[in-house]
Amino acid sequence: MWTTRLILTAGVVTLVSGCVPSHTMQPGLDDGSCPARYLAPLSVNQPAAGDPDQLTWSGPAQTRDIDKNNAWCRTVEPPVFLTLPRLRPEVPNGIDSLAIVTWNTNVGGGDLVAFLAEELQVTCEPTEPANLGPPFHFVILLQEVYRASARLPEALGGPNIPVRIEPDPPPGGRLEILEVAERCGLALLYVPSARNGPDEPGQVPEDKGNAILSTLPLADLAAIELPFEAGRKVAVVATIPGPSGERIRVVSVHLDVASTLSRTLISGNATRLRQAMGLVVALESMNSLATVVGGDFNTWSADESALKNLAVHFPDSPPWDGRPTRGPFPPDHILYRTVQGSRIDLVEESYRRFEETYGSDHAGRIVWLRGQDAGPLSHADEVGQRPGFHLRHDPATMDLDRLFADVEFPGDYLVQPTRDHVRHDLVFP
Amino acid sequence: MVRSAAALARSAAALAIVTGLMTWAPGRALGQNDEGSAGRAIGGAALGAASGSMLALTGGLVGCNRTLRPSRCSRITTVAGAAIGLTAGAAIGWRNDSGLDDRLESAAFGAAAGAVVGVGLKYFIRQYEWIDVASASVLGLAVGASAQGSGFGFAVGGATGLLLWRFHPTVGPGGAVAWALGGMAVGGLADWVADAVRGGGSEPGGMPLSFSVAW
Repeated sequence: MWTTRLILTAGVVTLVSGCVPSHTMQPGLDDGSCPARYLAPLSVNQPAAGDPDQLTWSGPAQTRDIDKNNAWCRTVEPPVFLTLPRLRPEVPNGIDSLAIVTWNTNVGGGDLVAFLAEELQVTCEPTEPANLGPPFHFVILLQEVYRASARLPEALGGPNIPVRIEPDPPPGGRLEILEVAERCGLALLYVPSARNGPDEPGQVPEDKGNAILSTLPLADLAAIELPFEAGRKVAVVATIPGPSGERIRVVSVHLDVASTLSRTLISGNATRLRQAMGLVVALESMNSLATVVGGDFNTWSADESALKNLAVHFPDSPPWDGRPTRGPFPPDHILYRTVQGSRIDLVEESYRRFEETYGSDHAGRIVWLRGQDAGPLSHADEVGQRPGFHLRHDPATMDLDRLFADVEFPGDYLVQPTRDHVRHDLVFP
Repeated sequence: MVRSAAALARSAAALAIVTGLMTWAPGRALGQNDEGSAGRAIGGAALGAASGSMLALTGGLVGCNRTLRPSRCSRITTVAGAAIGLTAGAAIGWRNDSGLDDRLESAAFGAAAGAVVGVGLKYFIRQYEWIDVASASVLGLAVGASAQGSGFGFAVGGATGLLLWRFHPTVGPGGAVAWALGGMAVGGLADWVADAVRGGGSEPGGMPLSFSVAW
């Protein structure tokens, strides 16, 4: 009898602490269980390639995940899209290069307009007479963007409503994502995942989620609800015409920072791994394209299980540069997977962190994709640096140490070797 | 409201069952001296297995989360911790009539403290449910059963992690936390083992440390 109790006790403890919750996924969640899964018909553009009026949903197959995701989904409004950008509206026959950026904007705390102006050379003032946009194409994979709307469902509180994030507004005030897209003339896909706090008197209700902003038209829109841990997370997916005329899939993802204590113990702390594997399974069910995933993976370290496993499925990802993007933590990354026969290269040496956070609690990251037919990157070295003094030189012909021997630099002095020259950046403080 | 009450009842029942399984055996053994050494050994084994498994699981949470298969890693550490705790607890119960008294008392205190912390977390974190309160309580019970060793190990591990982070930035805050939790697990399990080696009872729950200062 005692032996039975002993075995039972040990068995209960071992089973409870060693279980692995499944990350099985399934397509087609737009079954009417949540009205917010339908795409809001807010687009003023004509559809681009494919059938962008359709937003394809997929999500976890486990009942608990479905129930939780449904409950959270019913607290937000439908996604919105603007599939054709106003900037550079011509659909390129074949662009030669493309910048991919990821950034968590901290629910409007990050000054997206200033970021676009300073880092990507986009002027977002609609009064500008010649708003022709930047001299290059880019896609920004955004996390924690928001929308304010009085039409949001009533939400008085409870476990399906996360605490409101209310950052210090940037100088121009907080801007919701649709306003940024319209002001800056960019294509947009925004899929909310949760409310930004419950209803409060005097405040316009807000939802928040991931988005894609692009100078290129978006198509094949999809949303992937990740396995539920502590909150609903929805990865946003679209395809764009990339270098060499190939279509590229771009994905903006945000994983949970932590799960509840019980789930952390039950899963052996596999919270983010489960969500990451759910994302992988859902992406692998789509047609095969070169795929870029950028996001806030909320990783405590760059060798966390979720990233290690993602690296297996995205073997062409650029190596982490050892630089954190949120305090001492490295949560933000860009991953890449090519396909057989692709003529697109990811330029590893272009992968870097933006030095300025623009009011967000995260710094963004950027990497360049280039067609194999294209020449050297013309813009990669000019994007992602704070204003300052940039000097390229050939070390064989110019002795910079002697040239600058008597110069005192007022800011950070960065030396960055590249393939064909050495770049010296004096970044003003 | 009804669903919340039902969830509370389910969690309370689960907590009662788990706690009962963990403490019933040593409780009976200690409360009835005529139960014999075998009963105390089994009681100690149950408490040791529960404490050891939870300590090892918690201690490996961050470290295992740096492997390709963290769930498998957690399973291995949990089973290893359970085996160590089970063996040590059985040895303590077998060799000393009162060897588990203080451990049982501090385990109960730990369970109560864990429950209070869990309720606090539930108040501030809306996604927490009663099952998380129960989890905190079970974790408190496990740590409480080896309080001194766990606390000492946590302090040493945490300090080591902070120093490593200071001098090797690649360790990062996650590494420091991993060291702290790992230290807690090692300290707690060492506490059980040391007590078993010592025969239990003389300094229950203490670390096998002594200092001699020469005058």
